Amino acid sequence: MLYIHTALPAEARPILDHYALRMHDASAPFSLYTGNQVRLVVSGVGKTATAAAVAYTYARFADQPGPWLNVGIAGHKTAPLGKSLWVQKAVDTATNTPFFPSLTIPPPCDGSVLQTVDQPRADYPSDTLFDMEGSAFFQTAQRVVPAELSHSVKIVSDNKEAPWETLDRQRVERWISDLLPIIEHMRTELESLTAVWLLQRADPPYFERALSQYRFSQTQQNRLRRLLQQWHSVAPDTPPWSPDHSEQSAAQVLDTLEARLGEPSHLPY
Amino acid sequence: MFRTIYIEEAVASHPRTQATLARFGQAQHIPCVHYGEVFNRAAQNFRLQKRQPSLILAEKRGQRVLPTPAGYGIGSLENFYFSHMLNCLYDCRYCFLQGMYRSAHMVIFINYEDFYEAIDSQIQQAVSERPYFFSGYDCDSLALEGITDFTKSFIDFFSQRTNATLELRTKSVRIHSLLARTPLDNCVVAFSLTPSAIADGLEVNTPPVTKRIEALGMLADRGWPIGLRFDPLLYHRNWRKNYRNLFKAVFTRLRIESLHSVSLGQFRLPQAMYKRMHKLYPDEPLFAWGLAESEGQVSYRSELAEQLHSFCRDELLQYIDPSIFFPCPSTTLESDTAP
Repeated sequence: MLYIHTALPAEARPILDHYALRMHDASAPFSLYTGNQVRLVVSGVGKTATAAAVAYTYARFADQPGPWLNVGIAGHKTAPLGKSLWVQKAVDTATNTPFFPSLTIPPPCDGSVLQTVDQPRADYPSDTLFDMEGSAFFQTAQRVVPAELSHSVKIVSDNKEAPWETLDRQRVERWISDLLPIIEHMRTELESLTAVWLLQRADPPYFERALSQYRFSQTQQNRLRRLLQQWHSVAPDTPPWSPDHSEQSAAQVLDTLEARLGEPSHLPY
Repeated sequence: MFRTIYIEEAVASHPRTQATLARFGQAQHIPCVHYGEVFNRAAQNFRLQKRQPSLILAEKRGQRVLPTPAGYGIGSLENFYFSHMLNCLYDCRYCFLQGMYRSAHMVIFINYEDFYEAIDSQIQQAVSERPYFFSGYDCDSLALEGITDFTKSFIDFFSQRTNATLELRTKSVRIHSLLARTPLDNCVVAFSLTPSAIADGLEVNTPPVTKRIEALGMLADRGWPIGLRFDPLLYHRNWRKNYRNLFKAVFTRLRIESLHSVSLGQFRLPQAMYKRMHKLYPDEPLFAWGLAESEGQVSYRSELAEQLHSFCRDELLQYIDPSIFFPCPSTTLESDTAP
């Protein structure tokens, strides 16, 4: 499941249509949409709204974590209108703090540094992208997923020759429509990375069942998780306990499992 | 090879930076102030990043040459290590780098001249006859030679410092630059070797063991002093037969008089590092069988470690003189088993 963040409804519209997303909860503090492959939240403009929307959406779907993608328009000093750019680094200009996505998937398009500003500006002081959300997006998303799974793609909406005051909703929607192949490319690339990440986080087989049968302390639960992971890696097709196992306590379960795990028949390689 | 290169602004115009960038014409260049902004940040996942690591070009600041932990020497009284790189092209499942760094990106410190200065300083302060400098602690010394020119530069440097020894530690077979020059008595090329039966599964992206043996044989023929590093020793099915065959293959190819040293090492990790590695690879059988924690270190249970060590020691001593045999220190072996 890919989570997409946009600041503006016009940035969201083509994505909602493409992935056939439906409003998830009309009473939510942010417009939140959901579908089979994608969920999308519209935050409104600015860093605070962005951080709140990403955090809210993560908490709302905490049991179904996935990669995050920020999609939106941005200014650029020299790049032509409609050019797609993958964010390589986002700088919060208020604090000069940089945030780096980890670029482990093939680049979907050219890249650029992004400067996140607190107020719209028309002077474009450096040859980079400018927006009002990017740094906050990374700062928050990298709290909930690794840097390899949080990315941003922008489309140039204004530049020195065409300042942002001339923007209109129709043009924004058209540009975001042009970004859809890149968004889909990133969704599929991030899917395989996410599968590995989820594997790292998953409880091993038989974990929940054991918890329901015996009373484990927190320390014992940690040991149980580790032992079951180890068991699954050396004997993935064999249950960790025989059907008629007779352990009376959680401690006995753990000791029996540890002893079975050390049997020479499970020697790897 | 590298699609993304991060460049510290302070070294952007350094000739070594420019030469490296020229080798990767298609790569994206991303500026940073300090490599720590990109490398080893909290929200990074080594396993995911290892799929497509980036290159970081940086300046090494602070201490550049450090003493090795006690007991990790190859015959010298004073032992130091230095890292012109952090991280490795290869992906060995037992490697401590996975647990040490959150990043799989590769950092190249391009200020070699500052390393020279630090090494010279240690040589001048040395009280022993021949201090020893290890170069392959946080990286493979040869694997990125085509990019770094590391061995060329540092062998030139050590050729003028005959009162010190350099060790290149490697699994690479990129030995052309070494074959092309006159060997140095004070530069040891040390190869890490594991039986093919497990290397094929656990040493991802490395050259096959047979090619490594051929490479060390060619270097020995050329006159380079050779080190053999059987580290870590790994317990696996048919380990006796596999280690015996490995030793036989090595000593069939190698001119024994070219041998500088042989060392054995246990599979051993600080507990926190082991936990991080197991979290990264919960599906890895290597981290699942036969291990025990003792004094903050995770390694094979003592009886398994003892079996491995004593068997390999006895086998090796059929080929080599005890004076060049160096078992590394252990937490699970009852006693130092040096002959």
